[in-house]
Amino acid sequence: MKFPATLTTLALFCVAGLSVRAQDDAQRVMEAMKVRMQGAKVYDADMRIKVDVSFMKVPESKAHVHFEAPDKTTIDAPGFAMIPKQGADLSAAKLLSQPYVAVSAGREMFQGVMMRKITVIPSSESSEIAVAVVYVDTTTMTPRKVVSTTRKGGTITAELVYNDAAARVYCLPSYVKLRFDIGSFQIPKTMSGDFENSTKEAPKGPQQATVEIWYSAYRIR
Amino acid sequence: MMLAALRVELAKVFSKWRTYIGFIAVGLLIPIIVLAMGKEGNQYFSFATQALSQAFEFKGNLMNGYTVAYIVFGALYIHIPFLVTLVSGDILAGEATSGTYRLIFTRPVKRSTIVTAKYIASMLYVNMMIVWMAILAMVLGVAFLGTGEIVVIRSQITIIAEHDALWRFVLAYGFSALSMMTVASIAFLCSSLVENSIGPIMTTMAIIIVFTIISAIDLPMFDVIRPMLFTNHMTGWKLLFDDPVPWPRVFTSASVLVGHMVVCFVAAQIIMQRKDILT
Repeated sequence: MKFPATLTTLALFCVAGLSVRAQDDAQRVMEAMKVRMQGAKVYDADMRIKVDVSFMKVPESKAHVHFEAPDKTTIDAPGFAMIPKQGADLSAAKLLSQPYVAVSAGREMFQGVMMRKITVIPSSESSEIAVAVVYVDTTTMTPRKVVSTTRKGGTITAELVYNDAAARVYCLPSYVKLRFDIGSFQIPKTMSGDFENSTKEAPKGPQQATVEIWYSAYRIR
Repeated sequence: MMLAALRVELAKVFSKWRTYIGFIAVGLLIPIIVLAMGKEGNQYFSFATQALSQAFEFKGNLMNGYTVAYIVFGALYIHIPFLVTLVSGDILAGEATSGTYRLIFTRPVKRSTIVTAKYIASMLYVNMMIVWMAILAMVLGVAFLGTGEIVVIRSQITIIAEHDALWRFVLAYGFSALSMMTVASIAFLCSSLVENSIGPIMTTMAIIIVFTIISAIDLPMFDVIRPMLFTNHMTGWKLLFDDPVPWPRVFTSASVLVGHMVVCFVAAQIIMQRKDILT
């Protein structure tokens, strides 16, 4: 059975129209979140940071984050702290602070919730992120997962939880779990002083780091 | 009687200038290391953490007094045995060299009491050396560089919280005292065998060097021998800076060291009991 040419053309137009609408919708969703994020002009929060790197043993540390619009983030720690260079400053906000193009990428289950998948492509060449996939919880309109690919080729995955109702209004998370690649670790024995062979060897090759950050005591102005 | 003998032995030990070589050497070295580490120590960390510097920003006072005390501890630990043997290697052989065995062993004091007093005097010297090292490293380190987390760089990096640092140092210095007393005990045993003090010093150092090299060479045939070498257990103080501390390994190493001390002391006692002082 043959479709009439007009019907095929009409169908194609409908698909294209729906696709354009989906893209517009994706852009609108991201813009809506961006507006909410930009609502917090100045905020402070306490951070509890847990770093998990295969060749390191690090105690939990505490820090304090201070943000001032448009993009000034300061993180201070009273003692020792390892602050991830990307992600600790709430990467979704940073991602959307520059010009971007949002493309709908369908839907996917994440942590038992159906998420809207949106691919974000920063249009600025100065952006460190080449492309990011944002999983948006459409019921709360918050980004729950961000998978960013950097221009250097690394991947940063951020999973976000929003337990603080007041902070959630501004898409500010109460918990972030970051996963990213780090280089390989090798220390000469002359430096470590570990000449005996009974010591545990460091894992070889590039490693992955997992950083968990709990944000609390938000003071949003 | 023992106290009187001990007092005499301590007076003898501290009347010789060589006793102070160790104290002077440590007293010169530690301030230099502390100052150098305070000035350029961050380069040390930059090198160790270069794989992480792309991904993380390090906050806090990493090159603090505790970290420097740990580094000083590790650096001097290799050389302290030589300083320790200067006294314990000489304590019996020195009597033979100066021909005073006959004089001291003909007094109305048991030979075993004199030997025990000499052994205790050697051990006291060792402990004083460790305490001196601990005081200098900790006090100077904290005074110049403040306190903070200990950054332990071994085959892995361990960051130990500041509140978790002091007890580890106390135990580590205690463990190192045990290690150095083992070295001193070996030198003491060697000292009982010969009649000049250079021999025990060199023999003890040769034993340490040979055993350390065997411990470091990664060959399957040495795997069986390695756990039996006391040098392999002397570095047990480092385990106290692991998180969590592998206590069974710490106790095993401490037991091996105590075992060596007991064997060396008993053997030296037997040798001295049988020693012919008439010819």
